[in-house]
Amino acid sequence: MGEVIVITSGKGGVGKTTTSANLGCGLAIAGKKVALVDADIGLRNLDVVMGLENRIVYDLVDVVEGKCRLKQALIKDKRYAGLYLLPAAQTRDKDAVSPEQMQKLCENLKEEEFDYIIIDCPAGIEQGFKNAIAGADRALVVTTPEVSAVRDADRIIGLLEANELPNPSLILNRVRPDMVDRGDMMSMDDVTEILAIDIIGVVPDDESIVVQTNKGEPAVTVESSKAGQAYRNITQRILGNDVPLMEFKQEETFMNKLKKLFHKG
Amino acid sequence: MITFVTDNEKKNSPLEDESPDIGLSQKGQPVEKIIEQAEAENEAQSKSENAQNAEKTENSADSNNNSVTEEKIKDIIEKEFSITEHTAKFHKGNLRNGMFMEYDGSLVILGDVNAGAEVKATGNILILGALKGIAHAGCNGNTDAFVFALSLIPVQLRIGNIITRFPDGDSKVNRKPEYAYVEDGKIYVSPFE
Repeated sequence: MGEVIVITSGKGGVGKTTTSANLGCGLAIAGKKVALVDADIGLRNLDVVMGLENRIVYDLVDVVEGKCRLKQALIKDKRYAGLYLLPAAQTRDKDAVSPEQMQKLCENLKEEEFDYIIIDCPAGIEQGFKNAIAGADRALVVTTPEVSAVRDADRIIGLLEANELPNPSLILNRVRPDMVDRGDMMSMDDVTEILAIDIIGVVPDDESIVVQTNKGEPAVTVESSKAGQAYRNITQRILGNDVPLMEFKQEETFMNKLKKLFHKG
Repeated sequence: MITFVTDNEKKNSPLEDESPDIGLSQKGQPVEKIIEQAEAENEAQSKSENAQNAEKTENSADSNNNSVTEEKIKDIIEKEFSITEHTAKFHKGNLRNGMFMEYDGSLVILGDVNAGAEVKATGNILILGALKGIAHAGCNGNTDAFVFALSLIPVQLRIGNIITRFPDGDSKVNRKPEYAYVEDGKIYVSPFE
């Protein structure tokens, strides 16, 4: 039986879509059958990030309204066996779907023998959010180490608990180890202290994310990418394997050594 | 009634009073009214002043209907005779951003009250955790109420009709249990020892 995972955050721009794409790809590479569902109706992005925009014929709203069969709307990713995308409608809004319809959709996807169904939740706490979490079995909350994002994550965790989705896991995105070292950015411990939930991964701020997103190929596929490595680790943890949290060590460049020398003096 | 020995040395100076331009309101009442009310009630220190006080509240509540005036008089009577016992509600778990808890009596929270959350009680508020949001003790005007927290770093604290804003900064340093109470119309914070 498949597991429905919703990726949510409350605040926009913290990396929900990027995380969804990377985890979906990662799980598919690990040999699982994965459906990525874009629940951000009216502001769809997941198809662009996945590089599948040009193949959309039917979308989520068409499926819900019975204009096509589920299988027709699922786009198969040719690069990774077992990876499918259910795109959102762009010309409609969040009210086009109800939580009950989303629940039914998730059940239908489970019947299609998907191992994982990953739902990319829209920002905000309104209808779109309610739709996205309706059919979910588990939630991953994405946040960045900024006060505003952490506040919104806190609100989201509260709402998830109120909607019978307890114990969400946290993904801390866009961490800059150098800034944390200097004390200019909240550390993982600071964030987990405020939110008091389990952390499932820490993703460093990485240029390769932007490069890969623009290419339409998630960073998880790039061996050398640090963020990609972080997403590969999260994938392993979702699969139930115990992987230690990544440690960020600054590369010992000549300039850094010089700076340290001066600091000691 | 639980009262703290007030001749304790006050380590902290009184917190700055909330200025009306912050735009806070209590159940739809305009801020000016709350402050008028607060001033009026602060002056009511003995029963002999009660009548005068009632007049004042009536004046300040011209536009309001009778029920509101009655409520206010009831508040004053309650204050004058001081409630000796409260029922208390216990809540286990963290109160997160956007959550609101209100109780007619005292509130005991076994967990944190995060920034953006609000707790309100007619009696005292005890938080066995960190208070980072808003707490309003004695919300019917009882300034004998107090707020206790293992880590008292609220955005804003209200006791009775007095509203205070906490000074910015040093929010992370504080880890000791403290309680806040009212004396001479001002909110004081003292370490709990």
